[in-house]
Amino acid sequence: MVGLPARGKTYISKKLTRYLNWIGVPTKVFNVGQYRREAVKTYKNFEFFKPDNEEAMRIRKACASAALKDVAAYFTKEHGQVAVFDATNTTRERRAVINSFAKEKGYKVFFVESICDDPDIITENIKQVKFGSPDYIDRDIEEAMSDFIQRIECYKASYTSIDDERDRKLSYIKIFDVGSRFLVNRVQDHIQSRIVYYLMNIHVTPRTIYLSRHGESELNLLGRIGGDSGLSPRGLKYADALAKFIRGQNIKDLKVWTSHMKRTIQTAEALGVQYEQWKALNEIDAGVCEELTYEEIQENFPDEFAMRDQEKYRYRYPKGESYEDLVHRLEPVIMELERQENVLVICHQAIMRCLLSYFLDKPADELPYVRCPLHTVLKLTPVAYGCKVESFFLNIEAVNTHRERPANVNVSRKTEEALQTVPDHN
Amino acid sequence: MPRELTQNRIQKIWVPTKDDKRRGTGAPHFANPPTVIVMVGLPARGKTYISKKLTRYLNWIGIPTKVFNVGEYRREAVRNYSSYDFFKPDNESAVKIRQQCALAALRDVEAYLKDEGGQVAVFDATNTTRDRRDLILKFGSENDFKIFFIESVCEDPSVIASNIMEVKVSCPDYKDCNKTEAMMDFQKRIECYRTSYQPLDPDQYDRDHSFIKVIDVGRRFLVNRIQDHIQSKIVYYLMNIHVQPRTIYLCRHGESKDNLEGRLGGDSGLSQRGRQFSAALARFVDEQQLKDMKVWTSQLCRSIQTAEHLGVPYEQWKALNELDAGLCEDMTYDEVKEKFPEEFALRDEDKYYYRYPAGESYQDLVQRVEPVIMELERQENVLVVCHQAVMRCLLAYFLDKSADEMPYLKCPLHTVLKLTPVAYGCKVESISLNVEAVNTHRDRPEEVKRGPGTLIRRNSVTPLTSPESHIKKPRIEDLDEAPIQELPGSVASLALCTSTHIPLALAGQQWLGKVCLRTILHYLKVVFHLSFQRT
Repeated sequence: MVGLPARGKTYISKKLTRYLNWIGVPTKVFNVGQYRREAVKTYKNFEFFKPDNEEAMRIRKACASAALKDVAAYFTKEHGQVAVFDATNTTRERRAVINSFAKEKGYKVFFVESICDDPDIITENIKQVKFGSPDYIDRDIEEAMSDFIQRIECYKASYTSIDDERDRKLSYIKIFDVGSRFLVNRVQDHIQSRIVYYLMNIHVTPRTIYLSRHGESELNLLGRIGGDSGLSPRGLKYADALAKFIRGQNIKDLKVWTSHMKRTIQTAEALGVQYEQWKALNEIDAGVCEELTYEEIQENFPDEFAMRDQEKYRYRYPKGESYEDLVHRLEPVIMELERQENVLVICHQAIMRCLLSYFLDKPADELPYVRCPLHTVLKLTPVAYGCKVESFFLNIEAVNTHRERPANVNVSRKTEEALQTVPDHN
Repeated sequence: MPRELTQNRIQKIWVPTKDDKRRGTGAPHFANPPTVIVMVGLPARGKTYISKKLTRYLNWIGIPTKVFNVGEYRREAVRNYSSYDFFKPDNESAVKIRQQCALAALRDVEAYLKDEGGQVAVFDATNTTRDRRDLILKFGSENDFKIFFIESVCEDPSVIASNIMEVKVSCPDYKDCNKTEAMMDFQKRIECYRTSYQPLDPDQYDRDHSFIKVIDVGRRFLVNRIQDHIQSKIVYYLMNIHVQPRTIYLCRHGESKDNLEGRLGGDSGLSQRGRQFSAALARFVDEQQLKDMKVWTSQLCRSIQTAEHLGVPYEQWKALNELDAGLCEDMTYDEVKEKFPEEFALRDEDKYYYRYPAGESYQDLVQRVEPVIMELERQENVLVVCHQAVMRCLLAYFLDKSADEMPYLKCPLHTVLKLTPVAYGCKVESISLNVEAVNTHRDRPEEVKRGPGTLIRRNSVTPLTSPESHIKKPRIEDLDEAPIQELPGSVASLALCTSTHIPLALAGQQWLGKVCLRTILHYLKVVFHLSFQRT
């Protein structure tokens, strides 16, 4: 990352890392500020960052080197594929150090520079994330603000932006004014192209995303998975309750998305507004197990059932899909969600688990067990570096469709052990 | 009361009952309101190349798009091009004609976007002055069209010279000149534009406009104020394409056991002859002597087994799996006819949109396969070992085939299609590896009636062949303007007007790609297919 403080570098680092991990590219952030906080236990004031503070300079340089060492370890020992080096990196000298480090080790380097001079945006950034930083934990807001602004000044004198002429051989993207303009130079490969596409689609305008499943369906009542059944009477009640809830939220310009399956569309119909159908939002394809109960799966495919419990994220139903496949299928939905503002997504259990894991940064082993009960709306609001979640149960009873991982996942297990965690149904 | 839902019979999409004639889409339709893409740049900077390629891509993903090339309007108005003097800034009568051509093209853009179901129009001209661009911006704002500029900037003399050789020297303007003459005249033509060229200015004048500057053939991009989804996709596409010479090979897996039994779908292994094909494919790949060729397969056994014979690393893409026949998987066509007679008939009625129950349609395939196309654009030499429907999908993208034609493209087993980019299009060579196999191709049945306008529908997600437009509207209404266009008198003159000048030759086992001239005249629909296919 490159840029003065409060230009959104850490915001971008974390968001990008969350996205890359979700699509299956092991990524990690190395924030030099954290190394500095480790080294210098208490932060006094901006004077630490003065360019003539020699002792501080030594410490900061050492922190940067330590972080680079950890980057190397992440690649060689932990099978990482992308490391995000989150620091100001505002001098040519520092960037040259990084380039030679990478050249020596055979790593590719891609710079992401954030340039912004709008004082309102800077002030807002400082309020959102700096006041809560460990550096300012015991300060009052005005003190913190004035100290941080002086901190920024310390960097300004020595700040050299990436030079379009002298640095023309480097691969980079410059982001101007929070995404109003971009300069992209020498994208080398697929992952850099995806990173650029992602960065060009995200925005920071406040907005809300609502995630909900369809109302309870006929097949839900029977404990059967998949299929394309309609809503049960309680499901229809939920659809009405959802409509009431959404109206109550008073959202401007809400987009509504459903899958191609009858149960989500029926749910959306109750809202009385336009909705868009996405095939990509269809529930996970259970292949040969479509429309079976868990008991029937255990009876007919006990080995498959056990293997699914062993590795639920990677497991693919015969002639069906896995959660891993779902993530690939959902990527364009996530990309479009990033572009949009207020959206209500009416989908299915496995789908909602995938989407929620993206927003809440859940790793692959937790993803298939995230709780997404029927008749509950999740309201997601971006805040600081992450996402606030509020859960609204709309008070209409429904069956439970959540099956926890049973204790025994061995292929040799007994039927009762396999069916231990199956929720009740008709 | 919630509305009653019906699943429409062809696409299996749930719609409110009274609405069931609606053509649904696989994904939300994002491209409203209509967008005009405005190319900007000196001659020989790749504007027409980008226009055509981008149009082909947008049509394939289902966004009706059309190129309006002002040069073509000029060639209609001024029958014989004499020399670069025409382009001199002080040639008043020529300036007037050129202005009228631009206006005529804009009128046609308006008609396309408002009355003909178009979603995106690509205005392909130099548009090098602020005056001209302001005129277009005004046009856009009057009509509620979004405007997106694509500027191509390049000062590398070897790139320019190569562009001129590749597409200008053989253009209709220079049909009576030799190459050197053409080159010299064209260079002087470029100079005529240079003095008045005002590039897009992101810092001041154009800071509120939406545009992308493509610098040095994609080495660098400047992107300003992307407004919406379609502009974001356009930018992503432009950033992934390149002009390095390379070859793409498409083939199906070797004949499978299911193929032998005439069964759809499934995941069976190769037959004896399928294995022979795979060995022959390995030899073929060797002979081609390509550096760094990537091999991609689907995740189905038959395609992987085929690749295994090549003895090189290959990458498996689930997105390349064959079209899912849902409930009809593993059946023969006869069994489908017997068990699901209605479905069988519906499929023949509308094969592109038809979705198998609990399965997929060609329309779904296009969505699914789009990331493969994007990565193919990034790559250089690639061999894709896939399946019949998937291959038809990919081929339709490269050869600019419409949704109507896609499901009937001939992709026989044991045949490799070699695609090489050339000029504004793609050269195709079909190479049979001489191993017998069953024929799995079902032609469009005779009895199926197709209405003329079924695929020209506003807001439908339908790949249309990028229309070759020679929109010549008789200027009956505008008596105060000098008529600048004439209806072409014959097919021959139409052929000369096109700048998609792909030579056709038939030699032994090779055939060069389909040249499709689709001219939509104001009163007539005249469709020409010049196709030479090896069956």
